[in-house]
Amino acid sequence: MKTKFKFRSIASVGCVLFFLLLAVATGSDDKDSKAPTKTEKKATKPVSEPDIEKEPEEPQYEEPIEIYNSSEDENASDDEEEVITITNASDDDEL
Amino acid sequence: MRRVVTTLSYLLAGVIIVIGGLIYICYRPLNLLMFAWSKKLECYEWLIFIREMASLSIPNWVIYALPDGLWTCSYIIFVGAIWNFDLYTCWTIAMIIPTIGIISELLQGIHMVSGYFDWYDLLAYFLGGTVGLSYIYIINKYIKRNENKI
Repeated sequence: MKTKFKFRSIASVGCVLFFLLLAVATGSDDKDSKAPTKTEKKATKPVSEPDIEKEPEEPQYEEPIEIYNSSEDENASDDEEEVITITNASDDDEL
Repeated sequence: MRRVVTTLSYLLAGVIIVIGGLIYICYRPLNLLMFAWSKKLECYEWLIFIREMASLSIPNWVIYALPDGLWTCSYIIFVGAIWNFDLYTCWTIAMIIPTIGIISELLQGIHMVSGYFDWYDLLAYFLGGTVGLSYIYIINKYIKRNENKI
């Protein structure tokens, strides 16, 4: 009876150690890489465009200049007015 | 009768361990310690060979949580078989691994242990423990009923 109990105790301890070893063996070797290997919900950083490629919006330093084409006033009706808007003169040719 | 049931239980627990191990080998990343150890044991190529045969697309919970639950269940079945399916005697030993698993998972949640808390892992430990204990209880009842008949 005592022998059986001893054998069972040793076998139980061996079982515990085996499964603990299994838990250690299935751990990550590299701590940093564990983040992306978990479920998709654990994604730490969403994919986004790199900031370098984004160009900051240029502020408009000049107000748009609206030029009414007066030469065509006789042909155009009163409701129709051709408006030429110049904004942010970046192209000198247009001016 | 008891010997047959005990032997079959050992086999069942072994099969469950193998299934969990195959999931790890085939679908988990190669940065796990077990792959590093396999290189030293010179069986890394065998693992890669098995890994290349895996082609099923399976859900993440199967890859990351199911093996833990399977191994928990397998451990409890092993302990139950060792102690003749006497739940009253072996329940404390049987609860060691599930308790360690659940506590480690909770500690991951509060960042005391490296890793990420996952509800699926917690559920896997709980279900694996429940299934294992239920198995021991049912087998014990089955054996006693057969022994009473004799």
